[in-house]
Amino acid sequence: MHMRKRFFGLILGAGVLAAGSSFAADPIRIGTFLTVTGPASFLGDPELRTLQMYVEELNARGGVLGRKLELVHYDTVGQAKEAVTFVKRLIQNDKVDVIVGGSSTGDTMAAIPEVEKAGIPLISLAGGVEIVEPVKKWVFKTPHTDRMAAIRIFEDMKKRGIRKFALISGDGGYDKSGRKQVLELAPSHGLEVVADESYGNKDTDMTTQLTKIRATDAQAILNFGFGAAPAIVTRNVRQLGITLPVYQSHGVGSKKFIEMAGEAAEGVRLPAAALVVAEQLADSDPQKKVLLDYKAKFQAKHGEVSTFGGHAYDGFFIAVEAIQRAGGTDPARVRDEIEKTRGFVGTAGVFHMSPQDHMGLSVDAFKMVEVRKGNWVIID
Amino acid sequence: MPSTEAALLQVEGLCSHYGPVRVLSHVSLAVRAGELVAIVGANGAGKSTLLRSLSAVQPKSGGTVRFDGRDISRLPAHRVVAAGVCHVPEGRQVFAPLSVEDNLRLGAYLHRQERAWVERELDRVYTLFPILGERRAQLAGTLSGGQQQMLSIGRALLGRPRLLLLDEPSMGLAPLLVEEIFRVVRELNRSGVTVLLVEQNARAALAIADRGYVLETGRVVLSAAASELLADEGVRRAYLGR
Amino acid sequence: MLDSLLQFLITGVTVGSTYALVGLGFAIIYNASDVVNFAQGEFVMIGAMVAISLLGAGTPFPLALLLAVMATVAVGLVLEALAVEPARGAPVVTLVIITIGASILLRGVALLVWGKDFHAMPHFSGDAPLHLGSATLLPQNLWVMGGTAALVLAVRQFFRRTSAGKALLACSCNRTAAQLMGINVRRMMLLAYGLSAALGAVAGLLVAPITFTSYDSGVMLGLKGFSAAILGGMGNPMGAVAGGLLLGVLESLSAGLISSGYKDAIAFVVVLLVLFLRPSGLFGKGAVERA
Ligand SMILES: Nc1ncnc2c1ncn2[C@@H]1O[C@H](COP(=O)(O)OP(=O)(O)OP(=O)(O)O)[C@@H](O)[C@H]1O
Ligand SMILES: [Mg+2]
Repeated sequence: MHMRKRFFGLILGAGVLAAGSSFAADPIRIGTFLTVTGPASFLGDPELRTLQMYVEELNARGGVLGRKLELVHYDTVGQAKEAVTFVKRLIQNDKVDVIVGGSSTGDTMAAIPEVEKAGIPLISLAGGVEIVEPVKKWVFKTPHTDRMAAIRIFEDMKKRGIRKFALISGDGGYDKSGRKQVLELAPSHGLEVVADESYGNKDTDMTTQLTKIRATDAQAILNFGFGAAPAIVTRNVRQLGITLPVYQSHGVGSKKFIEMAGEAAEGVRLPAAALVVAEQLADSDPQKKVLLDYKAKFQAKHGEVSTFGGHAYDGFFIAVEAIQRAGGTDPARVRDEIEKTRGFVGTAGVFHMSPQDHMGLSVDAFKMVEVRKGNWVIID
Repeated sequence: MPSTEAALLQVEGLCSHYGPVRVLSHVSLAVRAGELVAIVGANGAGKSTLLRSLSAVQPKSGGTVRFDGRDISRLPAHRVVAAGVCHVPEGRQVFAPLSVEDNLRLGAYLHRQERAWVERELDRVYTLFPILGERRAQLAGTLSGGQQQMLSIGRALLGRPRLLLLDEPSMGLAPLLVEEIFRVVRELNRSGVTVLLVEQNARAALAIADRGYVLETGRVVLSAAASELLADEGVRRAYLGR
Repeated sequence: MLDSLLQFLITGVTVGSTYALVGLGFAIIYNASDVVNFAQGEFVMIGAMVAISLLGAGTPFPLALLLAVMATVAVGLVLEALAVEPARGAPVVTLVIITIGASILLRGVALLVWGKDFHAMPHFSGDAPLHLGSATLLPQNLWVMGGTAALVLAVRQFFRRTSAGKALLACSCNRTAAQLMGINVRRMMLLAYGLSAALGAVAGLLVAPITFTSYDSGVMLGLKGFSAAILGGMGNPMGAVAGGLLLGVLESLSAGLISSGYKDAIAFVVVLLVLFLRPSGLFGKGAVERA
């Protein structure tokens, strides 16, 4: 929190020195490669808008260290091969100082060898654990991982006395990665997975899979999915008269899910990013102000916020503050400063990075929520 | 030559192209009401193209077609049919997956509201071609070549033709059947249908025709009474195999 | 087990009904013009989206459905008139590429109009589950099955009994001969596209309450409907219906009895197998009459 104040103070000072829009030195170049169009545009689109919004805002206030910010962007359309090309171009042609991006785990993983070779810091906006595990010198990330989500769900299950549950997941990358984490981690949490069903993400009916689940002795159903499918699963559960508790993953953490699933959503629990329940946070919660500010700004310009845009907010400011602390754009020093990020209050949580942890979030960054009367309610 | 006034069909300077290739060059001909006119010519002379241009299933690149005093050059195919020009195409072109009766009823598509007329006309076709009556429920694709030709003609008759365009009705048929088909064509003509008959079998065609035109590489090279053409030395050598 | 089987079948027939309607649309256009209209799935999406928008604007339910079908039909007619007809006589591949282009364009327009979100539509008659033994189904499942059955029968009667239907069949087997019967072939092509669009729209309306609709919902349905049409024998409307139902039940049974992870693969293998053994599909041309 205090760091935030100091940061804005510096900007203000720099603004006065730079006197309006005339910037003295070279601009600070921030590179990014996102899936702004194509099937995963729901990721890249809000991410890019967020980056553009804050670059504009900081420049209007005089830039950073008296230097103008310049955003260099490429759209990968979700193609990992493109990601490699674009990252090379960012490093070699555009000579960016830091890279904030990679919307998807696939894009990011493809880009990592390039930044490691060139020695340019990269802050990914993708979920996959493998991005930062094992730790790579130049690579960081801001979103929570599906592993954290799984653990959060398991903790809640245990509190309710659930020992056996059924898993149902989609066929997308998000779903598959989540499924893998769930299957891997459940035993160590004393939980048994008694069914492991899947569906196509575009499927329109999951009653067959749920009928099979109904025939097991599961005490709860966990759906790792994205898009319309989790809402269909939720409705199909109730349609089949299944009364087991239903857990969803953080992938459905938006009002849209409740709207689509309707009454069937009542009682569904999931680990949600704080952004989803920003209004409900205690006033003493340091994240509340950051979240409400971001939400208000984004919504004033672009409509409904998503957690993905939030990840871009986190990545952008972690980078900017590191440059600020480094007093310049020397890549090695910026990298070191990113690694020293402590107590940065972002949208995903409060970040404490270290040489061992290049994400810096803990499990409680997720808020456990339940749908009650058509709204998310924080229960933990 | 017949006078313009009396002609039911008057074609003037008709041209047709396939891409850059001109297949008909300035064809002019006339058919008077009640006549049976034959067009003879070698393989590829443009006989079918002529009929197809007349019924507008093929675009014309020049010339005019007047039918009953009215310019029908620019009408789309279905309006030409409505005007009373019915075309029995080369190769019969029956609707193979449909029944014989469905084929015939499709022939009466434009007159489908006149139920009583259609039923009467169906009966007439079944009388003309009894075999079609026997097989009315059979799929057209399963008929023999001769039967399909009868069906194709019958179908055109249900279009209430004032001018019947016949394209090689004898093609691929056994001699006995050829005779049968030509007998029917003459009978139809006698009953008042004007006929423009295209044939490679020039002898048979000219034998029943009133007049004839000789088409050579897209041009009319000769026109005369059928009997004169039959007697013409050049025609005999070129088209009558002697 | 038996109870589960019943549930699998209910699911399979419901899902298969949608495939059937989309497949039927494919078959009708293919029949009439030899073109595989890959925008068929988009008709489904547009029907549902328009209805949802109209309902959102307060239009009474039946009117909204009717207008949605009409709007989709209009899209079908425009597609035929502006994209397919000008390319008449072009190689089939070109025409197929045109329809693929049209489908991408329609998706793009839908994205602009309705955004990326999924949209829900209210159930026709409530969403209280009905019980059939220990199997359950929604009233909407009955709407889907009943609506499909009614439409399929109507289409069948259309081809068998009406002169417009017969004329359309005539165009499909011999365009030139059809013209020589005095049939306005242009109008018949419009009829085919309009009819297919209407079928797609109705399919969209029937399933929208169960499935949610987004701008790209048509992609998967188009693919499944295409498989259904191929399975049934591309030129055979009733074959497409049978193919759709078969595909839906196959998917559901594979998921229920073998493995949900492989259900699409299993269904795909069966389709390939059928085509290997009977290249013209289950009810392909030459086997029986078309409709
Ligand atoms: N679709 C086509 N494209 C290009 N050329 C064509 C086409 N159809 C016919 N032709 C050419 O046009 C010319 C006239 O053809 P047409 O079929 O009118 O002749 P025809 O007198 O009816 O011959 P036949 O006795 O074989 O029926 C021929 O040289 C033929 O090769
Ligand atoms: Mg010919």
